[in-house]
Amino acid sequence: MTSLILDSLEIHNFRTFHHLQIERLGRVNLIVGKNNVGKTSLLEALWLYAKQGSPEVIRYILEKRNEIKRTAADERRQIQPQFSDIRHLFYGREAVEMRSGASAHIVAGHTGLLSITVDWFVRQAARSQSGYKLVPYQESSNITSEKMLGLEINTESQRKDRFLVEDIFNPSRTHLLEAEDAYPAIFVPASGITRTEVEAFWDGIALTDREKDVIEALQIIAPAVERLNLIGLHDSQGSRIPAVKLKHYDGPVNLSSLGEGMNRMFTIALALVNAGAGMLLIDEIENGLHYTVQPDMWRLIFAVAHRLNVQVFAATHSWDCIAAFQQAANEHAEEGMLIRLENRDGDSVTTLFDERRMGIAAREDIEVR
Amino acid sequence: MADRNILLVEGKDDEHVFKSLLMHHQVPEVFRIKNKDGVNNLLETLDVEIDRSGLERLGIVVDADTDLDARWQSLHDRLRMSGYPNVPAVPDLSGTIIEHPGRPKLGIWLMPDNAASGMLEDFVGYLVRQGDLLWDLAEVSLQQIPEAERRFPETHWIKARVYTWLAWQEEPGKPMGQAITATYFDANASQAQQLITWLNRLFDLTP
Repeated sequence: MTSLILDSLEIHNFRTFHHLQIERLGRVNLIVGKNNVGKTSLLEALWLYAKQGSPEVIRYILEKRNEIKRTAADERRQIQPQFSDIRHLFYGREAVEMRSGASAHIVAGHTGLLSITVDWFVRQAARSQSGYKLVPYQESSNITSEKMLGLEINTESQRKDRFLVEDIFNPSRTHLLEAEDAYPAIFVPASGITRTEVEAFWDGIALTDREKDVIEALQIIAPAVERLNLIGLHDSQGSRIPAVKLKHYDGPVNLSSLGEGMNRMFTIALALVNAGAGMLLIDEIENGLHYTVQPDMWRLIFAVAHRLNVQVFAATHSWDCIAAFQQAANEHAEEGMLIRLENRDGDSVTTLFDERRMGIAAREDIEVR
Repeated sequence: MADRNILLVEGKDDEHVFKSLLMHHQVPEVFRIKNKDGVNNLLETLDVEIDRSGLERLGIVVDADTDLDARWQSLHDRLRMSGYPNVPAVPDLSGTIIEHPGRPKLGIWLMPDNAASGMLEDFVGYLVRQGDLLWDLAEVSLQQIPEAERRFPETHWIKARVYTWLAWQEEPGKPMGQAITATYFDANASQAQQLITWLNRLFDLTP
């Protein structure tokens, strides 16, 4: 088995987690647990780790949960609102104090590390290039400089990046902030991905053998699907949408007209084949998918993840989805891991079920959710 | 609804004996008895049973069989692996109870009495009333079988004795559980009381 990006994981002080430890990870991991135990937070931590603390990812995950509340430009510049929003990244949220700062750590395997610290910085003009660099307020000799709120990101490569929170929150600036050495990682939220992402992902695999994997995924639901393409909508943005050729019909049929399940299956398969040598993160994977198609979906995910060396992390609270995962996992030795996440007296606790334990749970009728 | 309280037993006979005793002693039905179809399966799947979602209390009833120490050691090792560092070196005579923070409460009963080697039938044998003539006659009959004609292994002697005795009751051949309900056996015998006391402690019931 090719080595995995992550064989274990430890999280400190990030979002829901005061401390979370997962001692062993598989190639295809299904995270299960009740609401509010932190399934989405776990996916976010993995994504942030893979992207090595990318400011774009930070903004995305906060925006996705409506945690960036101030959008007007002048409000964005104020320290107090910035702090109220950025502290959602850290355990305890409201309890995080402005003067004390906070750090979150994500430790992967023996060597992987990502830490994010919120702190005070001042701008210092850089000599060589245009722009400025950020110096910790404590170390700054120039105490007349404006005190600004920022994040310091440290990674395993001992790279140290500092970003102003106002830049992170500013969509027109975030993409200018650099994040390097990241693993390919794709996050598929419960609601699916944007049209722009669909277009980019399709262009990433068009006319390669990976198209076949996506078509095969669609055939799990609709065996009549023969071909797949993105076709122009002729709107002002020149958007393209997925359409298929069906066996007994000569012409394009919009994928969305074939039902919600088709869209979800398409999204999952497309993201999967674009995540080669990287990570795929899927929240509420079963969304819109009838239980009868889920075992075959998992079989496909196991096979493709193995072939393209993708490490998959999906979250669900659906019993059918777990049963389907167990079925497929039992056919793929040492690849699948069911991770139960729960909150016991304020502590996050994980319980792992590998193939042996999943097999026992299924056979002996033991509830794992 | 998740099962919060479970009692794992080796087989059908254990299940029925427990059900009859529980009914007789009017123990509230706050736990489910799960037949694990054999001691090997019970032991091999124990780590997963302990990690059952929402489990709060788990009882384990297994036969000591011929080697009580070995049986205890195998439970001991498995439970340590499942996150119980505090398993005692020897079983508690009144039935072992183990509590560890963040883990379900565990109870272990080694048939017949947490001290002797043996099995369920030894325990049921304790429930025969003092001075029962047929109980002695059953033993005598077994001893009269010429060695060459005896078809059961020596280790199953007590089984043969219990079933012989059951064959001679008012309604011959009643299974053990039903024979308890029919009061052929004495469900108030002290060994039965001890078992019920252990169950009450394990499942936090007030008798």
